[in-house]
Amino acid sequence: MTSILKYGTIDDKILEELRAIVGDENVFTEPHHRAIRASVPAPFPLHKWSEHTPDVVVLPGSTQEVSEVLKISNKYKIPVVPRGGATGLADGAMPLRKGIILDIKRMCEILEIDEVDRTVTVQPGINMQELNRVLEKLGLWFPDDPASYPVAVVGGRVGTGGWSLVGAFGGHVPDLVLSMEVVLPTGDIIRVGNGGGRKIRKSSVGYRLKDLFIGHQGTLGVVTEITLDVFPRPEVEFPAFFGYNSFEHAYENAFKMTTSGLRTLGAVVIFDEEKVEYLRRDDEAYIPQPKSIKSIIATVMYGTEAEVEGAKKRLFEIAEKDGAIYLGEELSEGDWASRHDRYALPLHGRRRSDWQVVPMTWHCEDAAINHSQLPYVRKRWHEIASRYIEQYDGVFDDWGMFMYSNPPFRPWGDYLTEIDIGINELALDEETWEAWVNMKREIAEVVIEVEGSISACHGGTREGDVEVCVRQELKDGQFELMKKIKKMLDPNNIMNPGKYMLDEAYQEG
Amino acid sequence: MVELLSYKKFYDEPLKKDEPVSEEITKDCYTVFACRHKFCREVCPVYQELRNESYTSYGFHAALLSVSRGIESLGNMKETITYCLECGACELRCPNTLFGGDFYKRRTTTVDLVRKIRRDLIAENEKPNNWGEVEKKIDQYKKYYNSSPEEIRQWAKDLEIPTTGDTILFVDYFTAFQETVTVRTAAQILMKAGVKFGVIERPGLTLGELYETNFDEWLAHAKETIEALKSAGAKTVIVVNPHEYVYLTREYPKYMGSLPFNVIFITEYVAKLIENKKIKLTTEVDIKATYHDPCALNKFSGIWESPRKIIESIPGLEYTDEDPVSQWYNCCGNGIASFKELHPELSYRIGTSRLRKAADLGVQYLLLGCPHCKDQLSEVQTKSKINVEPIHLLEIVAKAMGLEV
Amino acid sequence: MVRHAIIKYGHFMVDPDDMQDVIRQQELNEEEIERIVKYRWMYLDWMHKRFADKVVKPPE
Repeated sequence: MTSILKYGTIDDKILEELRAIVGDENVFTEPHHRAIRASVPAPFPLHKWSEHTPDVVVLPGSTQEVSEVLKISNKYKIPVVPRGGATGLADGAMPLRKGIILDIKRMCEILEIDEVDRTVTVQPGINMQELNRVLEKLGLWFPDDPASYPVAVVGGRVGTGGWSLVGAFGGHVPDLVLSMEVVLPTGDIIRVGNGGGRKIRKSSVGYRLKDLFIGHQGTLGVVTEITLDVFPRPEVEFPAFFGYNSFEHAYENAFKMTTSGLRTLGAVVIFDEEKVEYLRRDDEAYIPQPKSIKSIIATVMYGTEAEVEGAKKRLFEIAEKDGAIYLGEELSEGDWASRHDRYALPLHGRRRSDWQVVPMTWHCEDAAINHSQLPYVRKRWHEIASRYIEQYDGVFDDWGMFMYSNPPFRPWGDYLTEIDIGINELALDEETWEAWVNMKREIAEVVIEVEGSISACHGGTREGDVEVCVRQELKDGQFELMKKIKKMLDPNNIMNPGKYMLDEAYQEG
Repeated sequence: MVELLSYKKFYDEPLKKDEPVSEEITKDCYTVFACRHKFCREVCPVYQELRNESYTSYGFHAALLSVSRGIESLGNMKETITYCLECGACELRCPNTLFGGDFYKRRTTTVDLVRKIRRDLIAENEKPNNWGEVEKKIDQYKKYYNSSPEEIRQWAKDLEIPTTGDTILFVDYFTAFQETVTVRTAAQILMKAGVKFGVIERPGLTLGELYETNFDEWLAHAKETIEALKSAGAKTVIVVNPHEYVYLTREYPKYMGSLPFNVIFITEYVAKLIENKKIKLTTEVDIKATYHDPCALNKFSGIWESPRKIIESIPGLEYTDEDPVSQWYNCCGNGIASFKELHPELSYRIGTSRLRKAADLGVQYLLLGCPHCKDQLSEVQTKSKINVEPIHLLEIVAKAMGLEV
Repeated sequence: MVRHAIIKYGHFMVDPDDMQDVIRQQELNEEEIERIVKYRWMYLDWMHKRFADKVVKPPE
């Protein structure tokens, strides 16, 4: 197959036009400004850094500027990659065809807080922690809580269809977006919502086009304004961690917890045996735990004091009836509060042969897996990881698995299931990178085998994942339809080209 | 003895324009790059204004890593590396420090790296825009240093302070020649409390601009300061300027080992005097105020309790606290060294953001613990007319003691 | 697997032998280590306050 499209080159004339739109001070061409914006937290092929370095970095300040930049890109056929917090784990903001990085973090205003109809309208570059700093003074809360909570931005959360650690209580990003302003690849500005309402939570009018612009990984446009649902700030929080003598023991108890009907449960998270071993390497909370504790369930409740006071007793009954051991206030509270920080430090990496500390990046391979399939997936994933670690000790490391209750507003059924792999990117070369991609592919194929989805929270755009996603998970007509939609909205394939293999929409033969 | 030692000796090896980046520096940068959580970002006061991730701890480390990989040349970093206040928020918030620094005995040291890159670039004659302003400032301070003893002690001319003693009030050139109210107030408070102390005749220069320009010259001055304090008989050195406190407790011990005297910050000392009833706060000070944590105390030195203790003991004062962790996000905009000379407008923007946060709390006064913050925020207040008056908390203590300063 | 975690200054620390080959420890004195630990607990306390008005205690 050959591409029917050719991209233009960014020359001085185009740079001048970009500068005229956003101002000289918001266009960067020096290599380090571009190199910094080549990667996201997914493992990055450092040995091929230049291949992913964009040609120019543009920092727009308004919807109009975004629209003008896209018009120029469309006119000259220049690839554009939108970049939010750049904390996504699926390479969404990593350029595959160079071009323009459209870094939207300057657009970070809160445009409106509606205390009566309970919404907040923001620009895409605002971070959730900053948003909540303002909302908390009004007794409000935006409940999106990813691992990147202190730094991710709302626009990126929308673009990746983000998942929240407390989603069982507060829903996930797709559930919290009421309406949006989107700039299409042609530069046209549209509004999508539930029907035509800006602050409406449910409508039966029209197609559900809003969903098209959630989780598209920057392939269909750029969101420039978002109206979000806000919650009352919880009166209380109650984190409780329990210990178990095996993964199976925790797994059985997790079923009882998630199906208990307790509506204040914000999360039920299983730590498997490898995860607990990993935490015992260097985590002050886990090192002193008795050896008999091999698996853990972390839970957290949010809500009014009246609800949580009652619910916590019930939760303890469920846990203790199964012989779980409560791990104490200090661990429960401390570990819950450090949930964004503690599990993935680079120095957690080890070379197995001599236990030397090796700085590694954290790769979170996530999938949505039903409860019934968790033990099988766990066994297979660790087997796959072990095989590669044995061959490439000091390059890869198994950091264990978490299984988080996955659905919005309820904890039962399926789990965001992740295996965390440490990767020493400094040691990557052609051979190890290929090994890595193969490992990912094998991991993803297990997910298809059990009829899961290969990503609950990051997206299926990474090398290794994407082929499995497109050829297997979306094979029954979904990918074909995606290509048609892509080509219709983005006739010149300028928006984040190469992602989701959507180049195929523009190929003949 | 307070000494907070965090030292990567391999930073002492200079980076050169056309030579490869050492393996140790590469791994050091990689350890931040590998994290990629980028929790260093939103906490950065420069980032909060510009929203440009190049100007963050992650950005600096990733940029230098790109130099190590031959993608960028060191000289091209000369402007980028000036976009740092050296406030320390990023390296503290970095999970490598906050969640693993103690376990691994290895932490993120962005401020040291920024200083190093700046210094190495100057050595390679790669000077950023506005560098002339920094040179001017260094020259100005050299003039101060070469002034007569009478000129150096002009701020205290009617106070009759000896030049020796067990206890020495350390007065640097910024507080001796520019923001003189703070040390004068400190001296008068100590005198009223019956503390016997001296002030040395001529300290060396402690200047941050010199530290990140000419290390050898800065170190020679540092040695001179230590020698002067020692020969004045110092057993305890009270420091009024948080920047100096950081040099004495964090930087000098790196290169000179443990200092032969105890160093204490003025708020720690005054809080004790209040607790021991050596200072009596009797006059009501009827104001509404909040407190600005100076970066050098809050983010580098672990000092946030004593200023609050002092403030809470002032009769009549209605205090609204902004907690110290929330204040990791704040800076007055001055920065620790050359930031303000290089980026006057940005410095002003950061200052106005800080004053606005205080104004949002509905207070009349923003209490300060640092003479640089006072200098900076007074200037910002005059220009911006934001309705909050910056004042050093020692001035409030003096008022409550009934002192005429 | 807990390999070589040691207790120093009342805290768990990596065995220095595990940081010899690939990445080394730096000079970090006891006071600085205490400072990091103190900041961590302060930060964790602060994080709880960002998500709810209070943290409730476990049942008796």
